[in-house]
Amino acid sequence: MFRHLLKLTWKRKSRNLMLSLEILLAFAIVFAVTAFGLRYAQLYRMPLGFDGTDVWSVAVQAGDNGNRRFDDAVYDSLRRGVGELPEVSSVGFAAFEPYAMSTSSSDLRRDGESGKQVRTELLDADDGLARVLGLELVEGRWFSALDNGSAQRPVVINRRMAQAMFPGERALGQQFVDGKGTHVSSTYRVVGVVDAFRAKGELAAPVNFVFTRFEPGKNDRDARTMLLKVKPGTARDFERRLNARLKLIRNDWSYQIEPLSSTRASMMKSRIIPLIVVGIIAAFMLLMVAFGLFGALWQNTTQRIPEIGLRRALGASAGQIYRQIVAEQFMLSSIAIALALLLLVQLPLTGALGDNLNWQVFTGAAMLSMAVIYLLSLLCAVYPGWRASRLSPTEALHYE
Amino acid sequence: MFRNYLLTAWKVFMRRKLFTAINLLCIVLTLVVLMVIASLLETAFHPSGVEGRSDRFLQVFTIRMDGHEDGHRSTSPLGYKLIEKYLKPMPGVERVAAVTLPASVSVYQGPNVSELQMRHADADYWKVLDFRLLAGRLPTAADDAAGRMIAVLNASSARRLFPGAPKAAIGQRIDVGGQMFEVVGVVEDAMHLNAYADIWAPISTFTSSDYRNELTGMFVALVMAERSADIARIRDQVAQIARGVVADDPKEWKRIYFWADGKLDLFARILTNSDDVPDSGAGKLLAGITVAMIVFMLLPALNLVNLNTGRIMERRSEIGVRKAFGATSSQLAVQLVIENVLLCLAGGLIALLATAGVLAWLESADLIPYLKVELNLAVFGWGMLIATVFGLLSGVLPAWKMSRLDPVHALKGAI
Amino acid sequence: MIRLSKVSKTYRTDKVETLALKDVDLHVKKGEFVAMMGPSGCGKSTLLNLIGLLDRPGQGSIEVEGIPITRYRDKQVAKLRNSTFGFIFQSFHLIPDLRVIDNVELPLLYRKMAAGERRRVAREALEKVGLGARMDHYPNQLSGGQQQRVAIARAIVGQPQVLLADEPTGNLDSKMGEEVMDILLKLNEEGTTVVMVTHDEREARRTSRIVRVFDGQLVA
Repeated sequence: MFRHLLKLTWKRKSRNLMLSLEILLAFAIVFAVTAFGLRYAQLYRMPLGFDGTDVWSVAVQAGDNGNRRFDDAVYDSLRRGVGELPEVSSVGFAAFEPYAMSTSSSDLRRDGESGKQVRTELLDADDGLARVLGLELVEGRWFSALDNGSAQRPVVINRRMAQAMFPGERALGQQFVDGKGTHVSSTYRVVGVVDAFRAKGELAAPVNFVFTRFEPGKNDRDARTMLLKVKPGTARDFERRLNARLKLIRNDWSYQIEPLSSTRASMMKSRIIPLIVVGIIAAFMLLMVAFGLFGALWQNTTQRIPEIGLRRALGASAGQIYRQIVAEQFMLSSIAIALALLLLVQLPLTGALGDNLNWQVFTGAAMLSMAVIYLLSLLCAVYPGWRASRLSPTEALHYE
Repeated sequence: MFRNYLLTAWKVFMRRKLFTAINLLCIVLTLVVLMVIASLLETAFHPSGVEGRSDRFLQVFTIRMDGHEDGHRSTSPLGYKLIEKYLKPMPGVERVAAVTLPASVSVYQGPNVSELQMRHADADYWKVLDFRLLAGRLPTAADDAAGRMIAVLNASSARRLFPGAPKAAIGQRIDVGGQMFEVVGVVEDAMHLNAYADIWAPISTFTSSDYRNELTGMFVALVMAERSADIARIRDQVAQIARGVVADDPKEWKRIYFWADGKLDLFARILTNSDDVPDSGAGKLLAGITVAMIVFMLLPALNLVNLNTGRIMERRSEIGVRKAFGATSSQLAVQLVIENVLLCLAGGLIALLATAGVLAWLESADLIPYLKVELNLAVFGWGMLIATVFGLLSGVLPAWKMSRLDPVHALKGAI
Repeated sequence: MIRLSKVSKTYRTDKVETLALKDVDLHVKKGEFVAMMGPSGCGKSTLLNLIGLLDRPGQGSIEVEGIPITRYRDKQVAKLRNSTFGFIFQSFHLIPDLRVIDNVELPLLYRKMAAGERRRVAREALEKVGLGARMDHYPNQLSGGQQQRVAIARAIVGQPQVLLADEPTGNLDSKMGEEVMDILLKLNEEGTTVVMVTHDEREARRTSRIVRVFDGQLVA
């Protein structure tokens, strides 16, 4: 029976072409959306590297567009003033807070080699940040007063960066530089390694990360975002008291206070919205394809009613006819899907989308899409098939 | 003869009700999506209401500074100094307004903290945009000069902070990020490029006056002409001014660019990244949108062509009989095309009603806050035109195929 | 073998009801070659379809080898159609997308048979109608007479007990028609019961029994 159906399908391939194209298109659409979703799911499960619960951020706006430098005294007064509030457990400073839309990145390389540049994201951080964000080091230590007066700028890097910059070696104690060509603008020395760190949150792809130690007055930019670890259960109106306390320190500055949970919410929203938009467009196109498929299958079956009548006259039962139609549809879908997969597998093979379409995501999306498309084509074949198998052979043979 | 075509078309539709329904649904769905998007774009580029005077004012959104090294560049909103020193004194314009981009602020009310979007604007802003005042008054130049701590709220925020209609909010005091303001006016909610915000205060209420000294900052300039015919001249004027601007640090920055654009040009400039040339890329943007719409219509069009071709095959014997009795190919082709066009027009009308419904839902669903979008006649006209063209095109190929059927084969009709 | 008792059949299309057969009693014995004759529209094709179980009667009963078919469910009726009956249609009804050999194999697909066995049996049937050489051709490459012979091969490939032919020579010229009648007669000699609808008096006279139908009823 299988070979018989194969012969039939192949001989009618030009008529089936349009149908196959629609199925192929539908598969590609579903694949894109499921791959997108699966990738996000994959990213979500990866380690984040920090704990953002009960952390608040305060962006200090001194109205000078960042051009002046704050000195030690300013930072001390901020730390002490805020630390006195009973809700605050620890204080740290960074260039910007996790989940923020800002990025600072650069190309770094090992000293001496004018070759391989490693792209990495950077964040200025002070000695108190590790405690606030719950950063855990797997090698070495976080920044501390021991680093004062160090010739090279101390850095803490994540494992991904360690493997990128020093493959196969121990990163602790090593150095690297930044600067174009042979010119060196700064030298960095690794004092600690964290397992993972993704500043942009759970849905961001893993990147190389470098924390650079921030010392007031010594770097070309200030780290003006204060990060506070507050006691669990701190109410939202703590912001008012925090603001009032900050105003006591410097009245002419303004402070943008936000719990990290709401920064996280905006970041998640901005990542999920493209997925939703793509999903809606995909749903629309899928609906179109479903209509087209249903209509074409209906027509196909209607045209074949005399043939169906003949088969019934020759002894096929209604169930057999029905199964034949479904099997043919299955076959057609399989051919279209196989073709689609052949085209789509080029993407992970050539690495066109990088790690965003790794083999795990690919196989998962392929499986899910196959299930959806088989279901879709099955549903579209069911009604016409059922109608056709209900006719008596005479009615079918003389169908006009 | 035409009546004949119509009658036959009706009979054909009724004979195959399910097919007709599927076809119709396909067309309606496509047209609804296209018309909704067109309405949204129309609202964005040619607004009425708050920014209804858009044909009479331009906005300057970003200043770009190029350094001496390749790749060293800065792109940011304007600083107040740029507006005050170079744009406000411009001759031949009615007024130049300065307003900041919306920023998040916290409003403290006892134990409650509300997050609102805040803009700082000068008195000219309220003359350029056309807000509907629900209670109280709008800020004036006198308020700016005196540096009064006053604020204007929009209706939703007023209701949120002070229950009891807009009137109850007037005269109340609110704590915005540590500063105390008095509410002097309540305006209607608005969502548009320069209008969107929950609370406004005069620029002079900034905690520190450092903003006055920078060429870059968080401001946007709105340049209003006396007549809409002056727009082209003002664009050139602003481009000329940009050439004469001296950077604060000429050693770091070599060239400075900024442009006064209408809404369409502004979006085009941002999307095509063309900050350094006068041409905003609006032509490219419109072409891109048109191509996208055509591609979008391709799938339903293919569906229709497919279904029509199938229908022809079904009606083979009918066609054969007609031909045998003297109908010409062109008459049969016209029949088919008319059927198609009728279907598409019917679909267009249904789509129109559906679009109105979808737009009403969008307004109430609050996905985009304070959204107000209308279906105007232009979009409707274009929609019907597209539907007709759709019908013509998707009927042509099957009609051509059908005209090549000779009666003998059509009548014989094997399985 | 096949007994029809008080069988009536009405066709309903849109708003029109047509009474095709009225109160028909017919008994076809094993080994008979029955010819059914009558003017067009008299119901002889309908009668043939009922005998071959392609349709169900509105009233009355049909018995095959003593068992009334009203008790059969669709699956069992299908089995009967497959194993007991063979049908030859006036307009051949070959599937144009399949080769001749695949067309002949068609009934065997609905039985449990190995692929090789099917091929062998189909080829034998083709040889019997003299078309063994045209196995791999497509139906549209054959003449009308050859197509009808393929249809006959298809009808006999399952070795049915009853062969039903609806104007088998209607679309053929006289020489071809005679050849087809010869094949049918030969099959009847070998034991197959044949019921044939025909217009041709000469052909009908070569059969063992003539049944005349007029206005939905049998006449003497």
